[in-house]
Amino acid sequence: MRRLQQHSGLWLLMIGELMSKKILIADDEQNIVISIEFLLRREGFEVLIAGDGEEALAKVRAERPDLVLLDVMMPRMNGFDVCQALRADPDLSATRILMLTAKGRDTEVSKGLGLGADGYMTKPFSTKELLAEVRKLLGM
Amino acid sequence: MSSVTHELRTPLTSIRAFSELLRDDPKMHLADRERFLGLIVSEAERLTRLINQTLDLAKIESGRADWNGCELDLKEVIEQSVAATGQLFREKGALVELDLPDNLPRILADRDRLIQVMLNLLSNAVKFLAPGSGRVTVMLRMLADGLEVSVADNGPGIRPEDQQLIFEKFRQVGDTLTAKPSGTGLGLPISRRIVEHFGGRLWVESVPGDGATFRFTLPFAPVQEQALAQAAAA
Repeated sequence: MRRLQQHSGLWLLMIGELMSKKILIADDEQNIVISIEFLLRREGFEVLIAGDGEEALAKVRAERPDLVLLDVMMPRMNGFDVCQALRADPDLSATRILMLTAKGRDTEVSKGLGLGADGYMTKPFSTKELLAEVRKLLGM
Repeated sequence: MSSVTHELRTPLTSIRAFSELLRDDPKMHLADRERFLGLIVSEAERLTRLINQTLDLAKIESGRADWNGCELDLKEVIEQSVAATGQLFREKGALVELDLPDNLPRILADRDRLIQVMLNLLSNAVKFLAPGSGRVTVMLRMLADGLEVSVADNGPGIRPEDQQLIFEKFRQVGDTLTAKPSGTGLGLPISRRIVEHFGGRLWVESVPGDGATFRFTLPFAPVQEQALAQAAAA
């Protein structure tokens, strides 16, 4: 009986690893979303999309993605405000946040990290680097 | 400046991302491959327009633009511009109506820059028209101290809160449920600066659901002013 329990525990662990991680892409630039979505789906991730800050917040709450790729410049609620709202919710503390921005670096980076983002990438990014950062934040 | 770098980096982001996807995935389906190549090309074109217009606006604002002012027959400039946008109108199945009186006094302006303004207003007018039923009316009329051009469309119109916004750099408005606007957001700011450089004004009148009318004025060329004043005194 004990051996069976140990085996089923191992199976559950393996299934947990195989079940794809869920990632939300929040960006109002359609073509950027298309490219990142293709990249992540190719790597086996489940992908959700939001086109503005309010939609992003709603989808995080409804779908509980493991990671959010959060653009800063978005209509209706910018990435910083979304980040702040997510971090203010203790229920969502496990959601990792990777901010994406096309603006200048230093002040933006420290602001984002100060608001509780787990990582920061500037655009244009290397798809290799984006994947590495995504895997790192998901503990893969 | 930070919004300029943001705007220029944005199309570059998808150009780079799609290029890397194509390079790293030799087994990509042909349909995706073609789609991504098409997007790379259109984003490169968009980036080119952005760079050109950003530099143009920077030149104008810093006073380093070349202005070749001369006396112009505004009717002729308008007709040229409308002819140049013929393809845009045909693609939308839209009509253009002209109400341009003859023999109006001449104005003083840079011909190429005025054509740039007219092309901007005409392409904006066509942009949001419903296919097949669109109509743009261009009118020219005389004011006491100059001429006024109006470009009126029967498109969706512009919300009051957006009517100032559209003259700000890099701002675009439109139906966000459909495809994102493909413009640069710099056409109207540049057009306004051109018109103001020659002593005129550019503004919009619109009621949502009832189209939009862009109007600009330009003062008469100095010689015309004197002639008109003399004629009025006689």
